[in-house]
Amino acid sequence: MVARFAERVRYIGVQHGLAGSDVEDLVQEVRLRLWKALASGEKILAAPASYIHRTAVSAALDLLRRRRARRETPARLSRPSGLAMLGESASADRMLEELELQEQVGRAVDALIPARRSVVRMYLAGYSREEIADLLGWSEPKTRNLLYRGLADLRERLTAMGIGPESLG
Amino acid sequence: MSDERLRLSYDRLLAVRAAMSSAREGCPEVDAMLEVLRREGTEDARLQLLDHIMACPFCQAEFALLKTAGTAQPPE
Amino acid sequence: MTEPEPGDLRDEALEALVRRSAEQVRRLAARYGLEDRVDEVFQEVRIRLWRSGAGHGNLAEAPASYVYRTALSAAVDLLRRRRARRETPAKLERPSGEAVFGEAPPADASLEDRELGDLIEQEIDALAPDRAMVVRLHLAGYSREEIADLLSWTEPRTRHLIYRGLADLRERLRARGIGPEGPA
Repeated sequence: MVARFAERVRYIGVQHGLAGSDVEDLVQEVRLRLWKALASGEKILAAPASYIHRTAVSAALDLLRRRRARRETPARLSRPSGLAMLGESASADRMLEELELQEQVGRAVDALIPARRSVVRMYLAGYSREEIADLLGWSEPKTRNLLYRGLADLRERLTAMGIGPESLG
Repeated sequence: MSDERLRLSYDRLLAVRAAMSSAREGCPEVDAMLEVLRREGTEDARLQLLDHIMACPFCQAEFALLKTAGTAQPPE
Repeated sequence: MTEPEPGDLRDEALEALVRRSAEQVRRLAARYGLEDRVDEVFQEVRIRLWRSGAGHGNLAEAPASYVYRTALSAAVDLLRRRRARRETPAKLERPSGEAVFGEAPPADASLEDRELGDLIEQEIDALAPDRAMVVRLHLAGYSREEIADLLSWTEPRTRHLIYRGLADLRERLRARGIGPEGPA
């Protein structure tokens, strides 16, 4: 259980942009917090995954805020980071949702039927409908059709996973 | 969920995958990418390749470079 | 091999065209954060144009399409070279001696590539974790900006860690008798 938990916490650390020694610090911090809160090995073992996840996200955010307080000018980003997207004051709950969302989007895309999946991936990767049509030598209507159906499928799957249009905008 | 939101989430997902693993597995040859750009081979084969390319941050970047280097039009 | 200065190209108009082409492609590539790679490609284009030794006349006849054809072929060769340096049958990427030392390993190196790769892998593993990760990403071909973006680090920190990571790695490899001078 310890190995699984540590790997999960590391993954959360990387998702927050932590690396190397910071990630190990995070694992230690989470262990500490769990002990402080639950005070017994049995209780920690029995703790639900969501509780550990929440603790890890909260600890990761604290770590990030401490580092940002010491930071110089931020790197030029070609795309916004997850934290930048949600704002500095993102709560652990919000971050948790965001991280789960990423994985759910990934799984939902994986589950699409092949023809629609490629087109949706291209679109999510940033290619426009015109570029996709051109790449595949398809007509505009055919591309539009497959893309719309693919995205509709995707949204349907996400809704079935509990992520609706009202979630996170 | 808006298209933009989906794109951002997908983008971060790929970035995390890349950070977690430095190895490349199952990536098509550069020549295979070129064939996709030139629309050579069967449509099914091309779709399969694009499926991998768009799910792999390494391939995505290489493919984008080939595409932009090869399709810019001479200035008029 | 030295880089020809733009002024060395006999046809100034051709150089202007290469510059314009590069700018155009860069604008497109900016979307993907590929400006560095595009610069690499067009350096390669300049070299090819210079090497082709074409007189003023030949290139001036059909310059535009030549530059664009050359750009694609240069991009392909660039990617093939980068991959060839890093491709490995094993599951982990193996950095080339060139990538670590900034120059080709000596021709009379007695270690096989594979053994050298193993050693480099081991020594990367022994680095401090954040340096190890940065070195791996760097050797996998990510630019400094890409690494900073991926890990949400500042540019100065990323630059520093790449520099220190590679310096540490060189130090460790030298301690094991591997360096530009050849294995001990």
